Amino acid sequence: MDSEQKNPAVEIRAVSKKFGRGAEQVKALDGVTLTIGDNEFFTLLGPSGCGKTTLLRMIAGFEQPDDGGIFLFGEDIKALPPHKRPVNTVFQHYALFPHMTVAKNVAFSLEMLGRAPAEIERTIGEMLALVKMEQFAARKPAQLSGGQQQRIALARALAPRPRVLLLDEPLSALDLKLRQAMRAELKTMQQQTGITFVFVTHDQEEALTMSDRIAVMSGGRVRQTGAPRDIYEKPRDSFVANFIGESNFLTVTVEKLEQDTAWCRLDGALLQCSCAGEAAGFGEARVSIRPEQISFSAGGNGGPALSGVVEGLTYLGTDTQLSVRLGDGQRLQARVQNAGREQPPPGPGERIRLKMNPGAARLLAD
Amino acid sequence: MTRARLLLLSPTLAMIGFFLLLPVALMAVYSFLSPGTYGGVEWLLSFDAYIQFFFERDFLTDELVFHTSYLSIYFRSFVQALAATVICLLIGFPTAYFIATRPPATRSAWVLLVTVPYWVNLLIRTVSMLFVIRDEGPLNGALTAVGIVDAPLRIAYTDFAIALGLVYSYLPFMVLPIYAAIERFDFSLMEAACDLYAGRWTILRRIILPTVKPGVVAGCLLVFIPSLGAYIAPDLLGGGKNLMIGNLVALQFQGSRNWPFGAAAAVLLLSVVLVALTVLARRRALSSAGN
Repeated sequence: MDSEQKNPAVEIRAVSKKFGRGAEQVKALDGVTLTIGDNEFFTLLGPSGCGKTTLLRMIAGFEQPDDGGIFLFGEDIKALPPHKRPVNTVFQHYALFPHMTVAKNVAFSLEMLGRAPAEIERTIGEMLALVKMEQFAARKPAQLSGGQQQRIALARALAPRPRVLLLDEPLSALDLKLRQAMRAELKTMQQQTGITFVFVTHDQEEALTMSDRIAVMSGGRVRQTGAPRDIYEKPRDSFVANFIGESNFLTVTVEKLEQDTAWCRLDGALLQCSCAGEAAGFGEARVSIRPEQISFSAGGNGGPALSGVVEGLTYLGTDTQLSVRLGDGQRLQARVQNAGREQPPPGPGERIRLKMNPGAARLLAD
Repeated sequence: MTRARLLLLSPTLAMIGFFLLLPVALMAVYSFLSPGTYGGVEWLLSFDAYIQFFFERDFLTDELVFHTSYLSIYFRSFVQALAATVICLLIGFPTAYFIATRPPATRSAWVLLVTVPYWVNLLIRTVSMLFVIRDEGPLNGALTAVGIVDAPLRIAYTDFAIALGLVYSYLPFMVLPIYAAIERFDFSLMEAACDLYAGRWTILRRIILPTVKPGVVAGCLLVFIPSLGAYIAPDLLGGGKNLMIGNLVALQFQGSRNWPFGAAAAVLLLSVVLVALTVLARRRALSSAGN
């Protein structure tokens, strides 16, 4: 038991996978290494074709890695077929058995595992209660809405009490309102059951709201792994900064490097940026800064502080977005909340002084 | 709207009316008439044809005695057709599965290959088959040459040969509907079942078969029904001595010149098939309503 506690739920070690042959060969995964802790809500986030689904299918056993190892609670599962792995999957299009009732769908895995009929009955009840679908037990999948099918798929996958639950973009087929409601429910369900969730999505908002940790993937590689806050506020490279949220990319000159702080020169002003340490050298580099991290005040004319000329204003409801041109010709977007502001926003052509919170700008690795 | 629909349907309706319903009705009427001396019918109402099917007249006492000679032909036809259907299913299902799991681009080529036998006339195919399986044919030649058998195997002119002929004739009717059903099958269901701890045979039995069942039923009907009334295979491969219903009917119209009896035999076959299909359809309607 103790040794099990120490083992991570899933460990991916230097896994590579190629699809196709010859000139059409595609590297789906390129040396991916990941550790997913027990009881964690872990998200694989990335655009389509980034390898996230391939990685998930590999944990389920539907794909075999060309190279590398996959470990489940310390045990090498590479040689096990899908039906011998204690993991279950919620499929993107649910894959409910159309000829079976909801109850039969949920019971399927339990029958396969040879559980006693009384226990199966009880588990069906528990699972349907968990997803709030008790009154639908006798229905066929075709008689359910998309959201209800989704819940049954979840109940079916949770019924055998897997050690790890894999979710392959399970919310992508639902409409926006339902998707938002399901996010909260999934998160609650994960906490209630204590099962490790590995969640695949291309939706950054989904990833940020639900996950304990996120791995951002592109081109078959993991770009960055971390808590949602770290991923958003301290993106490692321009891909991560660009894929998650909006960002300004500015060219700067690195003048001084400390542990995890870099002092960068931007248009004559000295900027305190955060950096990953491994990332940077001196000289020209790129920083990312979120529009909402830039505040401003009227006036400003050169001097040590950063200033610029307002080129345009966009009203966004809760916010107003300003397009600002710096002295050196670089442009950036700043965003301010409309509520609680006393002065009207500056008009086009006006010169303003810009202020960035210390460390809000992030020195990128590329 | 309804008039336009009727107009569009009229060629089909005319076709079915003139070439299906009318002949069948004619056949039903003929079965209640008396035979003409040189074939054809006399327009005299008579139930002799049906009586003759079930009874024979005792020579001495002139009494009607129940007999089973014709019923046994029907029974044998059912057994032959059933055997052909089962063999077709055993060969056809894996074939259809194989084709449906090829890459989409090559599937139509495989389907084309299945239909290749149909490019040659059925009669010619059956005769060639007879040449292959007869005592002096290449099959027996090979078997004796290799030493598997000492004397030629009796294959031609047996029930087995008839079954072989029926399977060969109707196999594509089994493959094609099953292929269509499997092609529509959502293979993520297989992954889901595998993920939920089902092994290969369980997946076949509990996931694939139930979802492709309509295709299997269609294939079985398409093989069983024409096999039941088959004429060429039992005539040529069975040597005409192991009669099936088709041969019995043909014999009445050609050799025996007893049209009403031939018509009665055909009408009886039609009734049996219709009753069986109705029961089947009723049962399926009931079971789907039950769910």
